[in-house]
Amino acid sequence: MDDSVAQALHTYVKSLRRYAMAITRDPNDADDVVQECLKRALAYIHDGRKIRDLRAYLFTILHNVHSDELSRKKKNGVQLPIDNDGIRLVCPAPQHAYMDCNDLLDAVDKLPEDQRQVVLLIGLEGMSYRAAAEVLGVPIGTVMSRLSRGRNALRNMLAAERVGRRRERVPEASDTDWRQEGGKINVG
Amino acid sequence: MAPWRSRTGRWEDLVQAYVDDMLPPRQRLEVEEYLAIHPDEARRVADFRNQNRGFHELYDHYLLEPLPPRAQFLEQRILGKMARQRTFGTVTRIAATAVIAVLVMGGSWYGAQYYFAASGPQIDFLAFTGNSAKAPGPTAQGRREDVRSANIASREQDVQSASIASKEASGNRSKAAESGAPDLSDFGLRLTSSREVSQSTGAEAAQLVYESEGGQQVMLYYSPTKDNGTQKITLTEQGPISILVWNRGGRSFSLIGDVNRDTMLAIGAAVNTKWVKSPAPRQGTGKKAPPPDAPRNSEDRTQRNDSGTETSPSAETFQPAVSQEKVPAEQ
Repeated sequence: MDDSVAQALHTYVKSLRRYAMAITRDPNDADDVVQECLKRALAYIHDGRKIRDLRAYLFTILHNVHSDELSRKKKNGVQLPIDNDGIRLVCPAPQHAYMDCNDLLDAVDKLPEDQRQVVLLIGLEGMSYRAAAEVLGVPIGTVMSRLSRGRNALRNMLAAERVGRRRERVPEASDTDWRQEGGKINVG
Repeated sequence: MAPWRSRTGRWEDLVQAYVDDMLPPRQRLEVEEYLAIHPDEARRVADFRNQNRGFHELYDHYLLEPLPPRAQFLEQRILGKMARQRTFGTVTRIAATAVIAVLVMGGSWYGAQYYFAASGPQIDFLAFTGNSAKAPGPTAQGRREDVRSANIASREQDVQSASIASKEASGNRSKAAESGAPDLSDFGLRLTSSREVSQSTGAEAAQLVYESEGGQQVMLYYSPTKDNGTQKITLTEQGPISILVWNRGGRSFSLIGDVNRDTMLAIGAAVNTKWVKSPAPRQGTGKKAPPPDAPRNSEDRTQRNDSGTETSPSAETFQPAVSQEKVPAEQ
């Protein structure tokens, strides 16, 4: 096996894990889903069958596994992790004025599952509309309509969040006072 | 959403594709022109792009993390399987190619053996036509036409279609003239083709086609028969077509041509004189028949007629003494 194939597979598995993190929002769930996905791919190849498009195949399995997991959770009830805000701990500081990453996380989380998948496959993974349609097993027109609705919904949610935060914003002077007092929060 | 509709597609689809850099240059320019004069739409596009940037800021750091050990292990297993699959696939392709090559060569050899074995007796039978077993056979269509024409000819009916069939089969020309076929040049006829055809009885027959400079055509069908006795000579005239049928010396002859009665009889006599000199072909012996000019066999030289009188077949005795029919030509 040449290095290019090995490198490609490694890149696919890493982006698969990134996408799994995005749709599950739980590192443990994401790793479980990725492992199950790789196990199924291995079994498929072990049977002597060939995979035409490895990346699309891996993402398709990931969606199947994730759908199974969602169905199972819906049946058994959702188990919240002890640290439900785990992903927020690794979220870097916002890099631009228009968007807070936690707001974006919350907004994505509120999206319907089908729109979230399309928005992330295209916006995060950079898939073409056709590839996304193959992965999700839907027509390309459905992908485009889900993408449009998902992005517009995200935009509206983020705009509403910004407006709300402006209203609750504490005065600039308080921040200055807090820093001047050595980081102690003056509750009183 | 803007009510505007692009010249080249639905606006909303164009916007989404513009955000994802999936537009060809012409449509991209079209969208940019529109956004330049519609700031609200431009802000919307900018927000969508910021969403994409936000996703990468949120999740791209996972690409820098090492994979969990279990995932690494599975990744290596998959790589190993894919390598084996690729090697096995290459070996399989080579093996399959080799097997196909062997099958094709073996099949060709077997087919050739079968064909030549099956056509062994026919080589003798067809020897006089100048066809050899190695000569290209008639096509299926041509063969069907020949069978049909032979059947028709044997029924003394549509000679014209037999003539057409002969023309269709003219691609199978050979050096028949060099093989001892009857020379009809005295009648202005030149041998143009010779081939093997099937009769309605399933028996094989030889077909010789002669043509004159003026376009007249005469076909001679020849086949061995089990009946060694002399049968009646039948001459049938059907419009401009004459059909002459006779048996002699274990052979059955049919002459069909657009010649008059006297010419047909003369041709028949010439053919009879030529071929009764050679021994009757024996089917299934696998032995090559002697050439028509070989020394005569005394047994073949004489024949017994219905009254038991031995007659020496010659041009003089070749007369349609028993049957002579005249059929009006079909309209």
